[in-house]
Amino acid sequence: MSMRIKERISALVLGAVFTFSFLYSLAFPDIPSIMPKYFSLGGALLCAALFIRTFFLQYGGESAEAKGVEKRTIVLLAGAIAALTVYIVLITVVGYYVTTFAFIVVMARMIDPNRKLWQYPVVSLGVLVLIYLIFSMFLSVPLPKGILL
Amino acid sequence: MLANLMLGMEAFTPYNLLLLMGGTVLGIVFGALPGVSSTMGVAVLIPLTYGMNPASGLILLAAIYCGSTYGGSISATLLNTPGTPASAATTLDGFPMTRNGRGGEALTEACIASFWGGIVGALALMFMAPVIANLSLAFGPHENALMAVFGLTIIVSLSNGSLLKGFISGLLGLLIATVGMDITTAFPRFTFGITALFGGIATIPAIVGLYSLTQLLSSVTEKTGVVTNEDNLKNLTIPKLKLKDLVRYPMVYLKCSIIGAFIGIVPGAGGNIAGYIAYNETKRASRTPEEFGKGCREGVAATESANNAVCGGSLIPMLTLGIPGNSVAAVLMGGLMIHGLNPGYSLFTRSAHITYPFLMGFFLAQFAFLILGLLGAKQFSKVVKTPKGFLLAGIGVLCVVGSFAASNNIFDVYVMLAFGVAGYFLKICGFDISAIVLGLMLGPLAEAGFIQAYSLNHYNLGNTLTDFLTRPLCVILIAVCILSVASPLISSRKKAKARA
Repeated sequence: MSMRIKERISALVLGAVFTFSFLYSLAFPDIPSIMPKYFSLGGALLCAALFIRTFFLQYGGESAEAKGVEKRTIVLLAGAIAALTVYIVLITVVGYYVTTFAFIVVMARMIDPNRKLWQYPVVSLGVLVLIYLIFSMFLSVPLPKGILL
Repeated sequence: MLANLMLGMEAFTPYNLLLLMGGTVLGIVFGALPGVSSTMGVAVLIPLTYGMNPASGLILLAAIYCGSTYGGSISATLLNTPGTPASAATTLDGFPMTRNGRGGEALTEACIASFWGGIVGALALMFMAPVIANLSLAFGPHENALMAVFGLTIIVSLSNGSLLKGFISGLLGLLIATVGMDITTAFPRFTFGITALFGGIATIPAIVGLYSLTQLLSSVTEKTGVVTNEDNLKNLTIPKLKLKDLVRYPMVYLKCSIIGAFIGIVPGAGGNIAGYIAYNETKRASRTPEEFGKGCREGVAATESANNAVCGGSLIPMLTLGIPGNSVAAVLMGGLMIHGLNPGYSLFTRSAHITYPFLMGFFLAQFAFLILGLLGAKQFSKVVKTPKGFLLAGIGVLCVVGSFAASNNIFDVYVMLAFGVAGYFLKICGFDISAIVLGLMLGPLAEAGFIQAYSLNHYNLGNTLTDFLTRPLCVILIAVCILSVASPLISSRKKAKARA
């Protein structure tokens, strides 16, 4: 995707956020509405300026290599965001240690699939031991709890 | 002063010294890893401090900051890839030295120069911060609001690509800062009935998301696996240290450290700028300028002493005026707040028992990385071989722990995820993450100052604005704000003209 398209989409999305905030803040009482109103109005105007600018600004061409890696990038990115979301959702359901073990195995394998299979669970287990020793034993930092560990 | 120094002696307890060494090791490791910046290192390791007393926690963060700034020189020297942006200028002579088989010598010089730079920065911090904090006593709500505006003018310096996008990012941060109950009327703004939002967006999860998770997602999509050059690592030999190595270039250390400390104090100008300016100055004054860029040890000394001096300098405006001088200072400010501390005069009076051990810890951190860096340079250089998959998965785990442990609330982890994902998409569209963080951190200060000034004038906007334009300190601050916006714009226009 070219920078011109990226800028147009981001200007539209952010412009919508600022416009919504502006309209929403109109319902606030006088004093609490001052800052949100001006910030969102300013943001909406600047987003409009950014959108208009995309029609006039000269952008540099994009390399063929950048276009080639796009599909792989999207798959990896979607995978990482999905893995993180599932991890966070399951932490309080299943339990921190079990979910973290699975997350490290899945994430490391997804990013770096060329390592020997045994390395994933072993390293994951090592990280868990470290987390337990540092956060639970040494620093008494609270960790999320679930049904299992 | 003596009493304050005595308070600082608490940094010498065995527990704090252990934390200092541990934090330095962690910092060097994080700094040496390409793609893991000092900001990300400090943000992701803040949860380590939750269970500690504030002084110890801050000493740990200081050690991580100083260690990571030095650590950045390891990958800059061995791989030609700066571990942190501050080390970018070190590649100019560090990597050529490695290619000439003098990598060990370059690492030794980087460590020694970093030490001297760090010492000058720490001294500037210890002696200048209390004085500036005293000056802040003269500030009323008008001046506080303008100080926040001054902090926001840094956006102009940060926005290399597009000023328009920089301002949009800043306004987005400011808008996000208004979420939660209004400070004067307790009216809930943008909370949509979610109780967890009544207190506002939690700063630490938002920062961890914006800096660490965004960087994680960026690294996931990069094609490279482990960025190593095996030959450079295999052939690395650390020369035996001689006493004269410690003060090989005294004038370079002193001059570049002063440049670095001064640049650190100026909000918005970071270690990378200091490195390049110091490098140019040293080259200009050198008897052998033709050696620079071909593997000149003096070049490494110049850049490393300057970028480490920035650390101390950057904390001065943060501790005294609540203006984070750079992104790491912004994260450290979050670390202060999590321990219930607020920047300003009270930090040096009511909370002196925490602040002075922290400042002393910052000073001692320079000795910690000097010892560790000289003894373990070969071992630290091996961390650049850490497999990317495990590294990123581990950072993901730390992001979650850090966000959760801040207030023992899973909602904060969702906030971190939302900020991380949104930050990634904004970053690839060319928006500046640091500008969002600045808005988020300075928004409450700006709003509180303005609303207080407004209420003092019985909610009369005309009188409030007249106040801003007639109070002497306000006039000075407005002039400083204009200067802060205009000078980078003028210099970039000059550069563009010169290129044309």
